[in-house]
Amino acid sequence: MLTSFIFPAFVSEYSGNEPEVLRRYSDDFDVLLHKASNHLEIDLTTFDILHNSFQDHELNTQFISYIFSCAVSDILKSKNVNPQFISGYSMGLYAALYCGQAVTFTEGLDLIRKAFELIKDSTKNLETGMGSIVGLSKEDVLNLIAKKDGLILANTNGTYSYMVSGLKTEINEVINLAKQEGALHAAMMNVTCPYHTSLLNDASEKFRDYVLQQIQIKDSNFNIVSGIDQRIFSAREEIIRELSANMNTEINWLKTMEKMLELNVGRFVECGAGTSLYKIGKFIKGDFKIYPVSSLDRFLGI
Amino acid sequence: MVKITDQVKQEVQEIVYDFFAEECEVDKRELNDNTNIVRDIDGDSLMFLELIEIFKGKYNLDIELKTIGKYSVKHPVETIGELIRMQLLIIEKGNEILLND
Repeated sequence: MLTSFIFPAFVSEYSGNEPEVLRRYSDDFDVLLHKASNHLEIDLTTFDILHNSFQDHELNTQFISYIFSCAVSDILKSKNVNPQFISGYSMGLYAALYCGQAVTFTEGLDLIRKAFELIKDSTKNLETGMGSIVGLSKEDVLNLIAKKDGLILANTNGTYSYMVSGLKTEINEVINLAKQEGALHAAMMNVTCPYHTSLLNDASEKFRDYVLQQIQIKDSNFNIVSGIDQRIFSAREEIIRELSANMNTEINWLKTMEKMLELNVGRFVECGAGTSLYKIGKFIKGDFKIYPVSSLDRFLGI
Repeated sequence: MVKITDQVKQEVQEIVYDFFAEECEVDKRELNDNTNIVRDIDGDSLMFLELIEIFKGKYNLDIELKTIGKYSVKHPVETIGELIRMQLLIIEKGNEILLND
C-alpha cells in the first residue's frame, strides 16, 4: 500500500497533545525549536500549546507549524517510513520540501520569513485575509464572489468546503451573504495574508528571485504532488516554480488528494499539528486512511 | 421523510453520541444533551457536515445542505440535545423543515 505524507498549512487549532505525542518518539520537536530560535534570533522555546501558543503572532505561528511538521516527518523517516509521495497543503509546501530534503531546516524557516515579509510589504496599504465557507456548492460560492473584484476562490477542500481570499471587507460581506444563503459555517480565518491571489503577483516574483539567489534548492528525494495543478515533480526547477506559484495561484486540495488516490495511495500521514487534513479527508471519496499525529502510535503499529 | 418512532429517536441519539465520543476523543459517559459542542468538546462545522451526511445515507434523505443551513441560522444548534432535535426534524420533514417556521 502506498503512503503519502501530507503537510498542513499554518495551524490555527491544535489538538492539544501534539508535543506529548512527538516527545514519546524523540526530542526532535524541542531540538528544532531551539535550532529555529537560534537561527531566527527569536525565542520560540517558550512555545506551550496550552498557555503560549503564539496564536496572536501570525509569523511565529507559521514557524511553529513548520517545526511541528518537520519533527513529524523526521520521526517517521527515523522509523524507516518513507513516503511514495509528499504534498503540502498551501504553505505546508515548505515542510514538504524539508521532508524531501529539497531544502534544509533553516532554509525552510528563511523561506517562510521571506514570504511573509514580501506579502506584508506588498499588501501594506490593504486589509486582507481569508475566509472559510462550508455547506455551499462551488457554484454558490462562485456566485457570491462574482461581484467582488478583490476576492477569489483560493482553495477547494471538498464538494462543500471552500476558502476565499482577498480584501477583508469583501470577505466579511461574502461571509454574511454565505450565511444567508445557508452555509453551515462561514467565518474569517486567523490570517491576514491573502494567499493564493493575484494581489501577491509582485511578491511572488520577488520571492522567486530570492529563492534563486539565496536558497540552495535541491531535487526532492520524494515525488511531490502539486497542490496547484496536481502534477508530479521532484526536480529543482519545478520546485522553484511551485514555490513561487504557490503564493499567488489558487490551489485545489480535493483534486490533489484525488490524484494521490488515483496513484494508489492508501495511507496518508498528516505531518503536522492539528487534524485539519484528516477532517477534510472525511469528505473525499475513496478507500484510504489519514493518520493525524494523535494516531502516530496506531500508524506505526505500536 | 421518515416517521419518528422511539426506535428512530434512540438510533439518532446513539449515532450522535457515538460520533462525538469518537471524533472528539471523549468518554461517551461524559456527554449529555447539555454538552456544548464547540465549547465543551471542540466540535466544529465539518463534524456537523459529516453527521448530516451520515444521516442522509442512513435514512435516504433528500435534503439540501443549504436548507439545513438556513434553518440553523434561525435555530442555532449549540448543544448535543439541540443537534439531536434538529436531526430528528430533518429526518421527519426533509426539505420542508423551513415550513415549520
